[in-house]
Amino acid sequence: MTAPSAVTVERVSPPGLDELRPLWEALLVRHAEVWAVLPQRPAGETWERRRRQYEGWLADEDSFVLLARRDGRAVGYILVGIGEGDETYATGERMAEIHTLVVAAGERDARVGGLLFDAAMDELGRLGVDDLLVGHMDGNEAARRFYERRGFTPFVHVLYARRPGAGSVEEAG
Amino acid sequence: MADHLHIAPLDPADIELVGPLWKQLMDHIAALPDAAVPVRPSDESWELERAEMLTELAGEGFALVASKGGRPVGYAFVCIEGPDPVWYTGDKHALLATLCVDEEERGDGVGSALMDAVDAELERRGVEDVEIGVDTGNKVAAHLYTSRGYRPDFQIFYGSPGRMPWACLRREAEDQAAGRGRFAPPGPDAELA
Repeated sequence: MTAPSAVTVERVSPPGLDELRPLWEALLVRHAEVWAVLPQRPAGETWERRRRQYEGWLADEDSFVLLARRDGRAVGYILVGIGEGDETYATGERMAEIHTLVVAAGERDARVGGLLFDAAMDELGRLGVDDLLVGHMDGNEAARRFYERRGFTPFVHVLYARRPGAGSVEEAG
Repeated sequence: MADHLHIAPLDPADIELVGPLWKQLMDHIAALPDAAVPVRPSDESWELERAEMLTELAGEGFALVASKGGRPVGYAFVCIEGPDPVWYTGDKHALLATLCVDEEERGDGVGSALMDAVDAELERRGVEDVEIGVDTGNKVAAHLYTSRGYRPDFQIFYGSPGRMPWACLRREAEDQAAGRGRFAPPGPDAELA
């Protein structure tokens, strides 16, 4: 039996974002499994829109993307945005938000997520950012357990509705 | 429906009208039974919130104020954002950032009347999709929204990178030890606030 090769973590700059696309699209499959209130956009359209969001967040020089590789193959990434502190809660002047943490389907039991998370925390420590937010879809129990094991607690629940009188979700798009 | 309730758009020049209501909301959130993350002192929080509101109101955001006899008794603040990258929202979607009712007026239909007015304004603008953030433990607010058809979407978690206790709890403990912020002794004008 051959020991699994090591996973390495590296920083990705905006011109390299397209390498993240297959992992992003794998995450969409997971999203659709746990939250089916609205239909998803086509995968290609979704990536174009998401990449523009990523570029916007990465315009802050402290925001970052870390990519995990095994044998040169991308197996997961974490994107952390840094922005101003919260108006309501007692955060510092700057706070961080994990916008995406995704691991390839075949790697989810291989601690890749923990490796990426720990590397991101090291980077936030270097930046001196003490407050971190992360959202996960309702029903994604694996994500909830992942963050609770790391000392995180839910403090805001986001609800969604299509405004009364608007078309049904089947008519959307 | 509350009697004699008048709902009108907030003129940004009159933004201080809603400051006391925002501060009440902060005190309400701070006292929620499952509140795990401390809130800022209400004066400090209003400084940040006012700046955020003015930025949004200068764009596509709007705020509606409910008044009785000329006295503001509640308000709703709505931000308008672009299409969601994943889900089939419209080209714009709304975020109900604040819904606040004076503590003496709660339970009298002011919140529902404001929600009806928000829906009417969004219909006028052709915005169909709405998201609302509810603080954990605010069961009255959650009930209001779910009774109007809102469904769970996602949870936001708070934590501190590699450090316990959380940074926000450390800050709160420092304020408490120094007697500042939320823990400052009442000043001479406290009764007028």
